[in-house]
Amino acid sequence: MNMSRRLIVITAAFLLLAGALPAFAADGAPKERAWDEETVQIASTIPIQDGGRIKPMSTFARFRLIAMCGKSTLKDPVYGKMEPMPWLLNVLFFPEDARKYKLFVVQDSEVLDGIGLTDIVKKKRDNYSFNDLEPGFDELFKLAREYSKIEPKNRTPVEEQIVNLAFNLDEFNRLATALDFARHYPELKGSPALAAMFPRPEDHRLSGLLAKAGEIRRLTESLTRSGEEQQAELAAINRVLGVAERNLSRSTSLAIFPPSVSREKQTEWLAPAELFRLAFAPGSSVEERSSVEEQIALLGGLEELVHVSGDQSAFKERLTAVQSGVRKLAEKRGEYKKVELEVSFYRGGYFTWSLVLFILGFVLVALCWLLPKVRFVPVVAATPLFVGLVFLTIGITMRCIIRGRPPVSTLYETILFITAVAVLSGLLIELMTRRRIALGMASIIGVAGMFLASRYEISQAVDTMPSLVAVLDTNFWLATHVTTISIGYSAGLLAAAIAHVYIFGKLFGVARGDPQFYKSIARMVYGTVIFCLFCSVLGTLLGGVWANESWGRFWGWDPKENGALLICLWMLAIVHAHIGGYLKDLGVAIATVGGGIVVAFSWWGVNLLGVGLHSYGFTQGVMRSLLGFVALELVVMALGGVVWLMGKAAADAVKQ
Amino acid sequence: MGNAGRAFIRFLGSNGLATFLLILLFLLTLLGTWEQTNTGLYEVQKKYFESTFFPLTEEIPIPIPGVYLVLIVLSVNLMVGGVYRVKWQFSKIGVLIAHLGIAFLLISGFFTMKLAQHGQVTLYEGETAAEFVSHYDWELAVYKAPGPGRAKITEHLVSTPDLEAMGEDSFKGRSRKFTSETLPFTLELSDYLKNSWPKLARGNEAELPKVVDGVYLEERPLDATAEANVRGARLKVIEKNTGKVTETILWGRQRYPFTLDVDGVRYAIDLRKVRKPLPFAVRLNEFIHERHPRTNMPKVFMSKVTKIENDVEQGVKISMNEPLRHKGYTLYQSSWGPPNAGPNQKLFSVFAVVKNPADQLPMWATLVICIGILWQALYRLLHYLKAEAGRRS
Repeated sequence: MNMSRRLIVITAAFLLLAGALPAFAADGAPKERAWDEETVQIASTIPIQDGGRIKPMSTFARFRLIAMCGKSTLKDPVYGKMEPMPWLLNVLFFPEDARKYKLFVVQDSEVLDGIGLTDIVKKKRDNYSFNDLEPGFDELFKLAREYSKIEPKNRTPVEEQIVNLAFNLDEFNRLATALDFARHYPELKGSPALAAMFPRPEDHRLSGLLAKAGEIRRLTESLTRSGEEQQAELAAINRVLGVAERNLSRSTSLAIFPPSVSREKQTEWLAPAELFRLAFAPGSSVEERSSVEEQIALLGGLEELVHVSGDQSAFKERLTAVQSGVRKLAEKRGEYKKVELEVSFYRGGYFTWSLVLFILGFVLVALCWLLPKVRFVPVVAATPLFVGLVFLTIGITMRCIIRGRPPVSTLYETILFITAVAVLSGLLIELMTRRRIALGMASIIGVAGMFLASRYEISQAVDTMPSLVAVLDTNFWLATHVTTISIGYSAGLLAAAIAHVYIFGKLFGVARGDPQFYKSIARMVYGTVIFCLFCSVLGTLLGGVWANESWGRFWGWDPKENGALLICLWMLAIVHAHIGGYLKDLGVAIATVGGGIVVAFSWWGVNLLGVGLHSYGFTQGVMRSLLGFVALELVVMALGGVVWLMGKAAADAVKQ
Repeated sequence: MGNAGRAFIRFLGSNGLATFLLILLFLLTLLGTWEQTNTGLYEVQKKYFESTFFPLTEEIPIPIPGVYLVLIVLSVNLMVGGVYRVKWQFSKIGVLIAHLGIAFLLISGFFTMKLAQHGQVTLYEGETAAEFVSHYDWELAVYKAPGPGRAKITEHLVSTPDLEAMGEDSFKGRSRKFTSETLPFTLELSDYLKNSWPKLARGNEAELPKVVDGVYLEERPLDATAEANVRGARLKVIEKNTGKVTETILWGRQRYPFTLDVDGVRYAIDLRKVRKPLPFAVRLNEFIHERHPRTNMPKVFMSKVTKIENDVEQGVKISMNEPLRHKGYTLYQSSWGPPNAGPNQKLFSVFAVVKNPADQLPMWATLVICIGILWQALYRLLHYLKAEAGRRS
């Protein structure tokens, strides 16, 4: 091909592409199907019961998307960028498009090799569409069934990914087919009575069938009593009901209909499939049938939505009606009040903002180290840190209000809380010492903590506001023991961070002629160690008192209890060795870095052991990061040893 | 006291010894935690935390001090240090209070270890119990089988230490006799196994000397969960008058005890977990088990029970974090079953029972320690702030 021809082909391809692109909007639907902001907001505030609690639809969408995609935003090369709520709307209302999204993250291409899809592999880690993976379904689900019999902790990473991928594909398919009941209606062939009951085609929609469940039941009862000649019609009606029930059976994950009775009488919300059961179940009373009338009307609204999904304004109008219907029922049960707050919480992106501000703070602190003489720089550097802390605190407070819990009741929340306390402590220490050191460490811990929180949310891919198991259902002990222990972790990590400054400062000869500089850091380290010791001892003992109240023993040598005890023992050893003169300032700094390792082990490591009464905090996939952290910190401790040797050599030289 | 004596006292109360002991405790706790990934908590507790010494490994039997011993030495260090080393000054009051609290905590731990009784009661809805069953300890009970009515039963017991000694490797191949003046027979126990399972003897196995009535006990490796191990033994009953020998297999999970008639009286012999009486009875009226809606996650476990004492009945609810405390005994909601019970199936509830005279001591010790540390921390902080202010000015 000569150059001019090649140019023509490239230009033609570009023009084709350029022509095609504007047909798609940024939220992944072809332009005429794009969801406007208001529609997304209305959909977001539809409450749904999932994971044992009532949450906004947008939260439901967020964690389904994270689980499947490995990110909270889908970026498809053709359909563009999609936030969770527009993505879920597309899956529900335009499933054919959604099956083409490069949605499913495959961490290791070995997974695809294992299910015979070698030819679609481009990269080791990549995202694939439902349609891409469909040819491998038979093998994938066969392997997944086999591997799911293996204990999760004994599965290889590839086995684990196969199980997860199969689960996600199944979950996606359930969502994509959840509204199929509104797309395919049972035909009323063979039953003149039914045909008379539903003369127009739109009448025999599922909501129509359910609304006339009483009449249909009476009809089938009379046909059952009548002679042989009516049996064909009875069979036809049963066939119609069978098809209707099958069409509804995929909708079980959409529990969006609050029951008409109070929360005390019935805690479970209803999915479309359950409406059918309640309306038609043999033995269901008139009261039970009439109690779902409002929900059946809402089901009709859902059906309408499917039919008008191509018409934006009609869709928005119907969606508003469904949302307000569901909301009214939920409000009657007192289950709506926190839904909008949760939508605002996620839309606010408080934790993302705090991460950005902590990064900015870190940059400014670095500047402040470069310009030691300029007095106002620390104030400028502290401002974004303070504002970041405010954002973080607002986020934590909103979570507390939404959950009705103290700030820490899950592993995810420990990260947020520990980060907030460490940044606050850093700022307070800076206020007392004005050495620009605590400020720096606060910014580093802030960045690291918020980054960890974000990674943890993505890697776990489950709702970060889950329902709590029975034993944790006690706000008093969560507020006292768990909070105090977390403050102890926070202080231990901050002390370790400041100790790094001491070691690296000495190693690189920073402020060599200023012994007060190191004395001040040593005091900061030791003071923070004492604070950590206090909180750890108090938290550990409060945990013992809680265990005594709950399980009948103060101490049971459970791994998590031992983890907390290890921090106390390590910090006590530092304090006693320091008082006894066995550890000088450098020794305390090195030992405090070791204390950071002990805190990390207690915080994360014991969960990885997967044993003990506290295994509800068990998590997977953090072992490598933890080992990396431990290795790094051991290197820092070794460097501390080098500093000690250098100091000793220098002292010997002076003596000679 | 001579110089050597004074030096020894100084050493006993020194910071150096305290640091060494704290590091040793740290290492033992770390090892004990790590070993729980392979071994059950009960075994780990016995080896690391409740022992004075334990061998490093089976191959290298170097004695390593256990946590129990280290804590005793630490208590001595604490007291000697408190008397001889720490200066009784205003500036040290916080330290002294905190150390006093720690001593208090160690003492309460010692009392708990020596005096506390642990066990459980399992009740189906409608059932009543006035005794609880040990988690780990076994006993052999011999009693006259009760006839109609509920006559008081006198039991002859072979205690846990006597039985467990027979399970040691050094006892293998030997038997031991137990008798009582009031019993018309002697018991001869052999082949006592700490974890066993009954098996039908087939083929060559039928010839083995351990087979009784076509059944023998297969020895199984100890389970990591100590409660899951089931004791078993071979028993010969030798009648004192006639010398007649009756042989049987005893197994800890047998539904009914072994019975035999001697001189017209029926006796029952039962290898079972140790039973201890409660000073009151408990009847389970209803077990309530709620899950978070549309999940399998437990939300509420609660037992509605009736406490019966001297014919006085009192309704009580026992749930997670809400135990029943009465007459020094505490009953905690611990477990329930059957896990896959149908809608009309009766449920059972399991209560952990603890009798611990030192139950509340750790709470008071905690309070004392916290006051001490807080006092000292605030004192030091004020000093520090003063010093910093001085430095800046």
